[in-house]
Amino acid sequence: MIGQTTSASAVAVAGINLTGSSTRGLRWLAVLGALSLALGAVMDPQRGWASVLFCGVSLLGLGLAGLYFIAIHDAADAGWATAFRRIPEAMMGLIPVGSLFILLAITLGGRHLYSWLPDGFGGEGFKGLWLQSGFFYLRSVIYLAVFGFFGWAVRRSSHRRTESPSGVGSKPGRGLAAAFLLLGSVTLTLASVDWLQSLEPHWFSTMWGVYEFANLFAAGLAALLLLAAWLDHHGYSVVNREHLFDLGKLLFAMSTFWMYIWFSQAMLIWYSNLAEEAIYFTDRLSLGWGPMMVVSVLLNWVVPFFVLMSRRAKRSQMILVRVSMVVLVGHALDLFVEILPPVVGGKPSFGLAEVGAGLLVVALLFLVSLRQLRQAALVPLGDPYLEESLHYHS
Amino acid sequence: MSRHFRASFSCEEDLLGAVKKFRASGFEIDDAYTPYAVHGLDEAAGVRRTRLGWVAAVLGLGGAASMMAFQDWVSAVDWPLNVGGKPLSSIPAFVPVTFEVGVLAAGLGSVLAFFVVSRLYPGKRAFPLLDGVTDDRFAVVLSAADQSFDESRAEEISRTYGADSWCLVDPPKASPRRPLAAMRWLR
Repeated sequence: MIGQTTSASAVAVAGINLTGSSTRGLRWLAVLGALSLALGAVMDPQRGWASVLFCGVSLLGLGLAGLYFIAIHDAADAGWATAFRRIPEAMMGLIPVGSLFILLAITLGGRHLYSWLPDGFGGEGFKGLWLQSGFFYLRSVIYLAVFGFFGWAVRRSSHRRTESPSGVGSKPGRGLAAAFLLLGSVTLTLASVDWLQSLEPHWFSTMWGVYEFANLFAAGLAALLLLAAWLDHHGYSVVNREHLFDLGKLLFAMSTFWMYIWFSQAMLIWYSNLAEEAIYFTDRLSLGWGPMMVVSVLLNWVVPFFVLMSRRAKRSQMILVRVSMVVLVGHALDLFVEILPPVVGGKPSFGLAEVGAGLLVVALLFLVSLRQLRQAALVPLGDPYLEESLHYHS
Repeated sequence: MSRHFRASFSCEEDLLGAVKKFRASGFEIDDAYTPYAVHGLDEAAGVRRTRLGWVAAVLGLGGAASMMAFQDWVSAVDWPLNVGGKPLSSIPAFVPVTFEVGVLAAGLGSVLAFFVVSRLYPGKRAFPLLDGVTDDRFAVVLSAADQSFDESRAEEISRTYGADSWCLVDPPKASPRRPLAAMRWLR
């Protein structure tokens, strides 16, 4: 915990310097997760590819959460988060990693995942034109290129403007951030429809894009809090209690936003009671996934909502870390509930592949982000908003 | 306001320093007046944290619960109506209004509770403590109701921190206009 703002500038100059021992555990975790995932995939290819898709969507989502965090603050000219903006920037490094997993899942694993992929969806309608393998791959590459470009460009402009040799850099550029918020959100909607909703090609929900956004942003805030706590634990404190307080408020708000979107989607489907919409829930409930859905609501909303309601909890790093872990597990579970039933079918079960995928995502989240953090000064000393952020009072 | 001591400053740092010093010296700080929110003043003046959050929580949960019960009573008990073949007690259909009323009750209730607690009501006359306190002056008010109030020490601290005026105010026992009976009850 800083509070003593001077320690922030002391570590700022050199960037973080971690010895191998502090990340060795993480590397072992990654190896363990990858082995477990591979073993699970050999035993049951369906499960294996579903888990590879899970890794891709989770990692890309966490990366995009970092990008959204920075873009929202830059577009709004907000300065409170400047002291720790290197953390979400580092999370953007997950975008290419997640993209690799997604490309792997849709090319090599495509026929295991998407029932319509080999011959196209067919039929006269728009869906028949949209869901064709060639077009699908072209779109996927475009989505990943859009995400990759903005991740690269936003990070580069941020580093350039804060590391000018004259000392004081320039304010964040709004144009790039605003462009991402517009273009990226359209891309995110289409991408989530293509990669996740088309697992069940007959089903559709017009709230899918915003639902996936709610998922990734809440999980991303939890990951951001965990990374900040990890750095703090290793002696690199960039968040003070006021920053924690506002991150806690954001996590509280986004958990509630997720619940709001989850319920809105479920209620519209329940109300209109159309076969092609209700199938999402009837399939899962008849296969016995109902309890998993209830647990994901408990972890993703009930726990953060009631725990983070008090001011004291939002200002306590220990409580925030625990709630963040719960929320991350909740969103992983939620993603499995989206992916597994249409691909694997059957009663809910979690095996080597799923556990391995979860471990791999956590390990890569830390390893990739810490690697990115090492490439620049931990605190953007040249940022004109740094002073405001250090004296921030919420 | 009973007998009090007030000191006014022309910048926030002086006020903040004086408030800390007053508190450390054992004075009871009645209130501080600033034209804008000054960071750290709440802690320095030892202002108790608001309990409005509790009011909002209780009213929000209570409003939500009563709206859920009301809808269920209307739809299933008082005037059963088959809507689209759904069960009469269809909880999902009641959730949006429950949520809205919960927010409404919490929001309106907090505002009303705030007005009651701070004794603001329509037609209340303004009593400016000091000219400029809503513009560019910073003032602190110490309670001097206790006869053991050490005026010379308070003056000394005011002077040290660059106050540009200070005085001990001993208001006459005026009879203020009687507020409405309802407002007296709410107090």
